[in-house]
Amino acid sequence: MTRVLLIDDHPIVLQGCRRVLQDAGVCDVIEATSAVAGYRLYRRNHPETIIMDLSLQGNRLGRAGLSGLDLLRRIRSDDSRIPILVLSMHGDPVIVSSALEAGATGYLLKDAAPGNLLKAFETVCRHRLYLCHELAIQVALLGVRRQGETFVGLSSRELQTLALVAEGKTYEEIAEQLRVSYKTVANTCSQLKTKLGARKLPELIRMGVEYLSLSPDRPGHGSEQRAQDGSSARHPDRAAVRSA
Amino acid sequence: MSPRLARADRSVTSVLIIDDHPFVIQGCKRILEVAGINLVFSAADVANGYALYQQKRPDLVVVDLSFGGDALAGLSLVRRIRADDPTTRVIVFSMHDDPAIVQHCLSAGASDYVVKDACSTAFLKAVQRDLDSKAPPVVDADDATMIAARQPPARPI
Repeated sequence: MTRVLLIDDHPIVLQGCRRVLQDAGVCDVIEATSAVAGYRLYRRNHPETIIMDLSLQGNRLGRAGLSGLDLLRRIRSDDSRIPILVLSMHGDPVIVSSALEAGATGYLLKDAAPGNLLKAFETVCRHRLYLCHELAIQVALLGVRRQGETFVGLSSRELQTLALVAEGKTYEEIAEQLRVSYKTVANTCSQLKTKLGARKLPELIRMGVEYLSLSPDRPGHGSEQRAQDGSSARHPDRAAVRSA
Repeated sequence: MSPRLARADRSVTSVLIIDDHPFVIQGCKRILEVAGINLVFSAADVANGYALYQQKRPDLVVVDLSFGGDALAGLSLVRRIRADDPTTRVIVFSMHDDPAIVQHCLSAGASDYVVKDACSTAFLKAVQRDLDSKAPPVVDADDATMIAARQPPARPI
């Protein structure tokens, strides 16, 4: 019999999943309402399949504490084969993609019909990837957009900041150059990370370098030049990056 | 036949759940069934929920607030049901824990407000309190604070 571990901070959702699974004959269901409790149960009870939410205990996608994504990565690093089905309310393809990169075997939206849970469950139990048709298309399109349209939705200020980050400038230096506060720069970078799906600053810098290489005539370039006349002349390495 | 008489004729307690998350509906159904309430109707949107309410005249309605892109769509449903029959008891079952929203719901005529983070027991207690209550729903400003205080603080892990 398959032992399933359910991790969701909404007890009612746990009850709903348990009911759907038990009606389908899966009777060995264990539950946790937090990432920590979920990990403990995983270690103790050796479930064969995990169904988990991404937002756990008030942590919205890992802004603090151990998030669903952290837990997913941790379990995946412990066991490369265990099927993990993410059951989430987030339909954003960036989030779906992050979950798959973190090691999810399947991703199902919480507003899916109960029958889809069974279909997804059976698919991941066979160690096959499960994504509903619509999500699969969106994730695929995300990959296509990343080739050239990654930076389309960003504001002029965000693009300026991204370019300066890519040039290795500190937040203080960016604040001074753009004549804004340090906090504004920190907030802009935080928004950039969210919008671009970058988890950490080095990843944002890498994307910034990609932006510079893609966009020699990038928006905000002119205003930056006005703000800092002759900056390229004083920083030949930056000029090299721009022309790359 | 008035809604009240329609309900009095029935010996079986009935509950209508209106929520656009099928797993929440399944969870509520399971909790209610374990507690012996087997006549449970459900709808996944406001329009179907209201139609089912008119058709079945349940003893209790459990309604979510957010439907699709409308974060407070359930609120108008609460008002409409209460305007139809002031004796109908309506529990709002929502993810929102903002006291202002709780207050809006109580003002609109909800007899109780349960946050979705609540444990199954809290949900069942609210259902039983509302089914047992003979008195008309009481809207009390303190309820909002009390309900908001039920939320456990977010603990760093």
